[in-house]
Amino acid sequence: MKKNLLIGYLFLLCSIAGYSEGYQVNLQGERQTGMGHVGTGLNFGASNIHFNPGALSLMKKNWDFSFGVSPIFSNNTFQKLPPSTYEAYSDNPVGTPFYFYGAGRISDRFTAGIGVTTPYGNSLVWGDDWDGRYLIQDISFHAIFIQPTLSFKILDNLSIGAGFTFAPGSVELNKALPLQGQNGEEGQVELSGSTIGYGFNVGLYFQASEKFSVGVDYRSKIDMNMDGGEADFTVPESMSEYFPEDNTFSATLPLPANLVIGLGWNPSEKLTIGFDFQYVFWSAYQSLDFDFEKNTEALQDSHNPRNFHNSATYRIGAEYHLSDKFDLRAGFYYDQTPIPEDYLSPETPGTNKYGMSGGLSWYITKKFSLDLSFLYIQGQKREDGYELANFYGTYYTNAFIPGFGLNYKF
Amino acid sequence: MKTRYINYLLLLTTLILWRCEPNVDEFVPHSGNADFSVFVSVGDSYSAGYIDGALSYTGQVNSFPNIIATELSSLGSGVFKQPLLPEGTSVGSSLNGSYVLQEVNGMLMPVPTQGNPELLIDPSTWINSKAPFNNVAVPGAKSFHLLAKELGDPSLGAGNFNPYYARFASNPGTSTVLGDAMANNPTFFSLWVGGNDVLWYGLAGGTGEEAGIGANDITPDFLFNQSVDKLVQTLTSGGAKGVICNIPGIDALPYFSYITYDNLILTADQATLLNAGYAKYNQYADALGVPRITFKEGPNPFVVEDPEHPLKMRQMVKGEKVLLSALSGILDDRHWGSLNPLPDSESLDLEELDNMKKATDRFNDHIKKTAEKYDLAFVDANAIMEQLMDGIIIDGVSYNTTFVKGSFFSLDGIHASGRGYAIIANEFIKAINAKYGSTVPLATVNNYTGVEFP
Repeated sequence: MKKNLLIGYLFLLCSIAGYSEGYQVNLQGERQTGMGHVGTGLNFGASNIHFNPGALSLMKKNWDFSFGVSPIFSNNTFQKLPPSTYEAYSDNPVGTPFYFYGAGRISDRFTAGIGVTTPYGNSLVWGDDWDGRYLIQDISFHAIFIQPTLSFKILDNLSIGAGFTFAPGSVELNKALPLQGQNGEEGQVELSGSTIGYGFNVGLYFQASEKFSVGVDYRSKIDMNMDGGEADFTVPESMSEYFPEDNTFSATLPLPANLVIGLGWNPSEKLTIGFDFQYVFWSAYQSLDFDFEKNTEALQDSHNPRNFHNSATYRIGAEYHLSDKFDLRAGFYYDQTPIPEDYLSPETPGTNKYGMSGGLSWYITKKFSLDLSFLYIQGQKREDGYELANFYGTYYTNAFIPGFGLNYKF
Repeated sequence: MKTRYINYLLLLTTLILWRCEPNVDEFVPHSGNADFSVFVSVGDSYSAGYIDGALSYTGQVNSFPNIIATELSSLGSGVFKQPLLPEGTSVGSSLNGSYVLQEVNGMLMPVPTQGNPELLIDPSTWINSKAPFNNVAVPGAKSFHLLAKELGDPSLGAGNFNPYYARFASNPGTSTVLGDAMANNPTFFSLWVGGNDVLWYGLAGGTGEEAGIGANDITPDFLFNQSVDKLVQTLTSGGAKGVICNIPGIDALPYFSYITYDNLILTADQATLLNAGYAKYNQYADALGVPRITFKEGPNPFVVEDPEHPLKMRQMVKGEKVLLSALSGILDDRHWGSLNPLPDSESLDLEELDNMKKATDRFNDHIKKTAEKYDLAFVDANAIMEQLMDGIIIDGVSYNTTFVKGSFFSLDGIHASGRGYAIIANEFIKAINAKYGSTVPLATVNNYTGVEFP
């Protein structure tokens, strides 16, 4: 009949964050974004480093540099199932994905380049006191992919390329613990840490004819293995012995592999149409497990099933060469959610999404262009929840993403 | 210049877009075929908001009928007037204040606070002139008490009336709880009675009568049935609809399950000493052919008083229960259950438990039949408590019937915590919605307070 009989397993049910299609961020080039983010079957210069390293050695100039940023203004609304009248609105900070590419021709056959991109990340803030606070209060995850790349031209219309990716990343998440203090304050945990993951990107590009091109790109899975992440607990004084200070955790977050098959079609000299089929191997994300260095009766390791499915995205986009000064673009895509029924958690309010985009390039000089895009993402409303926490409701999601890029090539 | 202009334009656009929340479906609650304009609650300590061993202002504000009333307010329900204690005060049935968790000798224990006994003892603090109240639930009341004018009669002297009712009765000594409920002309009611008709027998360790009208007795069937019939008949007489709830079995209550029958944890040395101490008992036991009292290292059954045993004491057997009130006697130098037997009044044997179980089943049977006869919404609290024993999860928090850490029960081990009451309120709302085709909003459980730690 000691104190420990009064308290236990408090942490057992605390599922800890994960992400969804929302944590993959497909904004790696303003030209592509303007076209529904197609690009693997097209040859758009230095940004091929991401979309298809195979196409790099077929780029039209000898040097190509691109830079761009796409601030994400995202909104999430949660409604508990009727007859509950509870509603919550996220207060997400502006996400800032960016890219930089530089490529140069080394020889007739070889082209080398480096890409710096942010294809995975997530910023979501539900607030400290909202109803789902025991699942997540806020989460911020960033990874930067640095990818030196080499491309080899096999034939004049066939080339391959590969890049090695190293990806420093960091995560911070906060959640409340159902442990109330007599002072009215609630328990809380902050988990944070950083790591570096490794992977690769290989691609093949084939210019079948003047009108048709095809590309295949495979970007490997990158496991973000985190050791020694900080687990910082705030609990009522009498419970502090169960939540030791200076605790650490290890966890692995997979950044799944992607297979993209792209087609390019030039029905006329002025018009380019692209199709991409993107398959994301999300089944790599089966669970998120937090292994705490110091366990106690009340603080056990945390196993959180995710059971994601592989998912597909279908993209179509067009570019119209209006004049020597301007290109206009438009595109559309449909992005399937990898999150199965009953595994939808508010840290990943994932749902099937439609993306509609437009864009333009303004060639200030022949070498230098300003690339603008605008992407609107509309998530289907999704009535679902995370069964293990019995937290259900209807999630609504949208995002507005203007993009600004510069390109210099000669 | 032109680029800068475009940039400003884009910046402006994005600032506008930033706060474009998605369109959501609107949900509008409605009353179905019930009329919630005047809601009254009739019941006992559960309906009164008794929590942490006392009636308190905060407990009353968090009473499940008040939670329901709050949700009904969007459906045109009028003010739900409760007989509130002054803000910040509390008073328990032993004139204690609310329990709080405190560290005592390195152990976290529920400890009563000072409290405000004057609120029960001193009639000048009473609020009779403010009657009638919508929540006329009376802590400690049994079914037939709600029909008896003696319940609130101070002239009967301390111990012979219920001061929780006397303090808010419209006319102490003359009015009845049911009469005060009817004075509101209710259009909708909640009725949850019967708990105390069984529970008090258990709280007294089964020392009362199997069928009797004394405080520690189980209420006779005819009296219980008659009382429930009268209550429902009267409450529905003006055309009111309502919700009625059955009685949970005591198995779910931490008060009867926190200390298990074999919770006497001994070291090898302690076991040896105790075995020596009971050597004489065991000689007699052998002579009489009854089981010996023996101890070993680890968990052991407690020794308990048993008036029917030839040696007047024995070791407990599986299935028997120890009351939470025995905790201090077990831990302090009274050495209950080891050196000295646990008093009969602090434990329940199998026969006593069976008496309670059967009474609960009979009463629940009558409550169910009454619900059907009067076509009322019905809450199966007994089934809900059974689910709770296996554990339930609501919005990221797990609840079960374990003392303190189970989060559902408050520090007295009998009454719900704030969140427990919110869960109960939602069960009532679900039953109401199912019966009357209404969509009364559910309470947000996580907005309520659970067990608080120092």
